[in-house]
Amino acid sequence: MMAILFFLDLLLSLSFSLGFNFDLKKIILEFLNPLVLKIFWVLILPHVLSVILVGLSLGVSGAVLQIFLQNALADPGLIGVSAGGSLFGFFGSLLFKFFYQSLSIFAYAFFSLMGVFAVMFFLLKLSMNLRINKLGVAGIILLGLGLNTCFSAVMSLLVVFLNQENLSALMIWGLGDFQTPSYWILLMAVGFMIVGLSFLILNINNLDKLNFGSRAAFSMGVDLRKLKKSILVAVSLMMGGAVILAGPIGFVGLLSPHFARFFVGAKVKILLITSGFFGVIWLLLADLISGSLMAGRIPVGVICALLGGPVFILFLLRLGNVKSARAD
Amino acid sequence: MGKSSFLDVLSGFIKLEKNKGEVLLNKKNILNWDVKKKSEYLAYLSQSQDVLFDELVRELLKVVDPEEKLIESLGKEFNVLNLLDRNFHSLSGGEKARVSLLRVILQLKISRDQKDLKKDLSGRYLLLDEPLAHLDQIYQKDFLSCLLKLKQEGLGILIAMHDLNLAWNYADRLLIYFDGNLHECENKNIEKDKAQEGLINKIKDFYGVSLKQEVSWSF
Repeated sequence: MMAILFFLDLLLSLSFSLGFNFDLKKIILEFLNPLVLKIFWVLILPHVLSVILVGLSLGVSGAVLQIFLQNALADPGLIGVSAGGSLFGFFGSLLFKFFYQSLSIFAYAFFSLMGVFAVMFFLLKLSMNLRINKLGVAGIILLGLGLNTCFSAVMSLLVVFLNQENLSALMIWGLGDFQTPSYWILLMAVGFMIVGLSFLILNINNLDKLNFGSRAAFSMGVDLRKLKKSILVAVSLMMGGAVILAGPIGFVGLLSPHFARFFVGAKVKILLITSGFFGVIWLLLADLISGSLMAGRIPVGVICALLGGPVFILFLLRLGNVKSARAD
Repeated sequence: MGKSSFLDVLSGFIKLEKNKGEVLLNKKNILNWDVKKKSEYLAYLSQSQDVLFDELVRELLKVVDPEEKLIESLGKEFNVLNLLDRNFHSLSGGEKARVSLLRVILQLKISRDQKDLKKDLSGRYLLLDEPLAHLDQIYQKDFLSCLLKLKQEGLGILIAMHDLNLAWNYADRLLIYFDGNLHECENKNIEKDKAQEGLINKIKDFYGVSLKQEVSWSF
């Protein structure tokens, strides 16, 4: 299914960018035209590849965080790296624009990475603080909450002080959308995701043990402190890659794991793969839909939520078999 | 310090300030043990035996025993074979307790050589925090009989529980945490032990009950 969506997305995006809209026959015929090929390689393929990478990151990070934070409502944005990273990136772009009068996606990438690492180190340092440590995993959730509150506040301040042009840029960016990255940026993002993933792969067994609770996991031989650091680094790196490509996108990381768990259960190895898979499908669909409205392109973040919300509610309504009713 | 915190300190989950004393496992400070190695010698079953995200019991046990070496044989011993292919959340309290006990015993046995399956829990320890809470009497008796069997295989068992009479009937030694102090009782004929007379009377006065030698199960 993923392959179908992938090719569909590639073809349709190309189609729309050339003004052919839904006429797929035309685009297939025109494919050998060198100009069309160039547009494909430079604009379309990187775009669709970044959709896939972000979908993977969100799906996997969400699944990992829900186990690690022992919370079914955890979303990768919860720990604050995506909000922090994108805000830094935005500031960086503004600064760059101020000095160089032009926008640069490299500036954005550079600054958002700085932001992601800053938040990551902050989380690592503070999670070792005795008072926060005492709260267990709830401590990390609360830290993230605090961070996100700060970042929201700064965003709101920006809304007050920015001029019209920058303001609309902020609004659109804030909803999460895909640029057309260069292959270097793609490579950077892939690099981060691979490193992040490798931290996760080393800890798959430990994550499975966390399902029994932190005390039980500790009793089973999990070094909880080391695990905490590894997971924070892994998720920060993966979300860092996602933030460079698409800014902050919510809900996908929250809901994909739930869909995945329904189909394949809670064993971490299969869950991570399946959750990543659902993340990719979701984003590809969203990108297809938003791309199809090329003229007034709706940011992918919005479509994700528009798609995901109702689907999740429908999903809940079908879940399991009900034989009895509760009084509450 | 309450019972649960006491067990937390014993298992190394909580670290006390330096001058408050240390916990030794096989003569080495428990905090200096490598966590993985420690899990081969010491297992801790906490009061809440629940699992966050539901899974098949067999899959959950495979987390401890990935190659399923001992799941079937121990499953038979603990009488949970019929539960292996059910979801954990669908089990009753007693069934969850048995499965959780199986899980910790699997953990302790899996690291051993398979050659001598009879006495291979010697040198291993199990800490239990209120394992009988929420269990029906039948399951309580069931669970305690399982523990007695495990004791015969050499397992050292420490249970934190609040039912004095039950404890008295099954345990070899009692550590009674009363009035801010820890008292040790080894003598079963406690009424005849002069040293413990003061303690027994204090408990009688405080709780209004006396320690019974026989517990009667009401079934």
